[in-house]
Amino acid sequence: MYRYDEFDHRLLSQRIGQFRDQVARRLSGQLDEDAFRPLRLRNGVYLQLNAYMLRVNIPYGLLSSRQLRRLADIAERYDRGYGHFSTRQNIQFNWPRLVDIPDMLAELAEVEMHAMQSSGNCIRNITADHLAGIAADEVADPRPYCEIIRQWSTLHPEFSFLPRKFKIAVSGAARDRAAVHVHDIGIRIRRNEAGEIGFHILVGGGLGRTPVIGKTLREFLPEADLLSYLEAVLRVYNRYGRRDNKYKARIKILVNDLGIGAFAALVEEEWQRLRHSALRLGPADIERMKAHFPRPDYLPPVNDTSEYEALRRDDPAFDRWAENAVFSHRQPGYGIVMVSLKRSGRPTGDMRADEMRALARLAEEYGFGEIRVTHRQNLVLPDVPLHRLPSLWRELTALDLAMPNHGLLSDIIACPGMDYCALATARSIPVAQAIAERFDDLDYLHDIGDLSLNISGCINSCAHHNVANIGILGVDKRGQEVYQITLGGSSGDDAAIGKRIGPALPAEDVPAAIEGIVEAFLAEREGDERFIDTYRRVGDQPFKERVYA
Amino acid sequence: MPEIVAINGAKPGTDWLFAEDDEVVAPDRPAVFSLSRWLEAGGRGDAGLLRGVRLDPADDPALLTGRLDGVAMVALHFPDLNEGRPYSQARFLRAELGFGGEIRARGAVLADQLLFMARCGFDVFELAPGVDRQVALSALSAFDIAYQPALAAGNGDTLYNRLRAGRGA
Ligand code: SF4
Repeated sequence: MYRYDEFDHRLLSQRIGQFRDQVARRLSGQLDEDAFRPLRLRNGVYLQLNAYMLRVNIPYGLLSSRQLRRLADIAERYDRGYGHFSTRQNIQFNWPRLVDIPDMLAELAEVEMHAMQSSGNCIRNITADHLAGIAADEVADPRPYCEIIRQWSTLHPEFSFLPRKFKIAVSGAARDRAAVHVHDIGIRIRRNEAGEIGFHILVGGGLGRTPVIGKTLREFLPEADLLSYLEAVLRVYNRYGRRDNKYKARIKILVNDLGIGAFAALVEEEWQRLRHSALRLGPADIERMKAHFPRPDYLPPVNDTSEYEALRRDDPAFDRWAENAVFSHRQPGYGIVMVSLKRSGRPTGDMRADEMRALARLAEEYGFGEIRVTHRQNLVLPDVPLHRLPSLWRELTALDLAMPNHGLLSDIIACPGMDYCALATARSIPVAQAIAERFDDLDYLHDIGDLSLNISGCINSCAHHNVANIGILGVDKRGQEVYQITLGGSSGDDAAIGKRIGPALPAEDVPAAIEGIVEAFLAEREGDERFIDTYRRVGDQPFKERVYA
Repeated sequence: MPEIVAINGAKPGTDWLFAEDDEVVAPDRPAVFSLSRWLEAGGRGDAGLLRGVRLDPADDPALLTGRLDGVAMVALHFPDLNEGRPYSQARFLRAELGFGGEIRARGAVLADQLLFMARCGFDVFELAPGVDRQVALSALSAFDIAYQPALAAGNGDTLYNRLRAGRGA
């Protein structure tokens, strides 16, 4: 994991000093809310319906047990004892007092965490594949590149007042798990025929009210040019992105208006000027960063897996969990364990302080003290020896963290919605809970198989509903909260935007509609088909018929 | 007169006239013209006269390529504090056109943006009404390091060393 040196610590502490001063000026009335707003946003502070919210970055989804414990302490000391993991590898605290936030940031800085640029019209937290460094299908570990980008983008003087927010995701694996197609810039690490590392650069993907799949800007960018190229893209966006209408200000609109060819030509012109500047990365830069992410000291596989095998045979609950929540690791003898934060009766992505501490302990006892955060609001224990799975499972079960619903219908992404978010037009958490309650039969869920269901409480689409197989969007219709349903979205390699199937429904009809959609799927399904494949084969007619019968 | 802060040895003492496009300007009056007027007039100053050019955020600074002879100052305008284009314009003027004169920030120039502006090449700041000079000066010294080479990369074989040897601010 990246370890701060003196330079990093100094910069972060100067940042906190600056924000402490800004908060003091705000509280004394020297700064009005209009002037303070962009400053607080760039430090992760939102103003919500009832209180301020602090959004803390978890760069590329990587947490140490020490950091998770610190998040638990902060949740107890400054909040109501829990935190909320978001869809972009952040954690949010919903109830801090403004006057306390500089102290919260100082406590985070002690464990090398920060909230810089977690909101505002600037380059946001850099996200990555949550299986970086451990996935069997990896071309190269994305984390060193993410950290290089993180540093470059942090307090960048030229790009701190962009037309709109700017999100970058990096994937280093054959299969995309970082949703690179729906980011302002998506980066896929590639190897060319000569075995050299380079980057496939996608641009202009995004959700919100105009969902767009990213387009290829460059097939293979040499490793050394990563930062000069990003700088060129950002400069073109900063200069030409629309600033007159915030709904047309994302880079996707600029790319669409100009056309990808003309946009690429502008970037190219800028890049030729910047390519040989001080931003060029040397092999030593990259080696230095890679050294922060060494392979852990894995032990040779233990041959005695009799307990594991016996339990799989004898205990269907364990068998189901091992099947659903444990993924193959590139290191023989180890597994990757998904920890679901989609528990019945609990808001999606929420975690209490005591649970954070318990998981931090498990990360140390069953791994190397590391936890990952996924963009589906779940957590991962990345390095678990296979023969220890039975005892880990017992511990997770006792903590209600062994729900085997990874990738299934009840693994719902829901944004905070009307319960917390000032922008919401409808509730999302209660709708997610009502659906999860209706689909609480694990056998049925496993029969249905792979299916993503996301719920956003307004068109800002924080829950990425338009790239879910089943998307639900809450809107306000003459004072009533109603829900539009889209089908056919996907966020992986076959990324697609979902299509609306008909008029919006009131909240109480949504669970039945989802049930109808699932029944239609099961009736149309051939063999073991995934929902998305059936949908693509048969179209939306059978689904419409059930929902609007 | 707005409160003016200058850094890096800039000397903003001149009493500039920010001339309207149809305004008659006495030849010996230090004056700042819009980009279009400057280019229309040939993009050259006369020896010995103090001339400046002002750019709006949408103006393309590349149009000043080869047209900066006799320009002592370029003024960049911030219509509101969320405006980001002048940062790119300033970097372009410094890094690409090698402009060594004064780059002045005008408009919504608040204390907390100054450091970003300075790192992009601005050296004179006309503070917005109500901004305290002391607050502005202390905001300028909030950081003494940065993660980007910006205009002040140190020497070194790696980006890492260049940053840590240079002063980004
Ligand atoms: S989608 Fe809308 S309601 Fe939900 S968190 Fe985002 S802004 Fe708030």
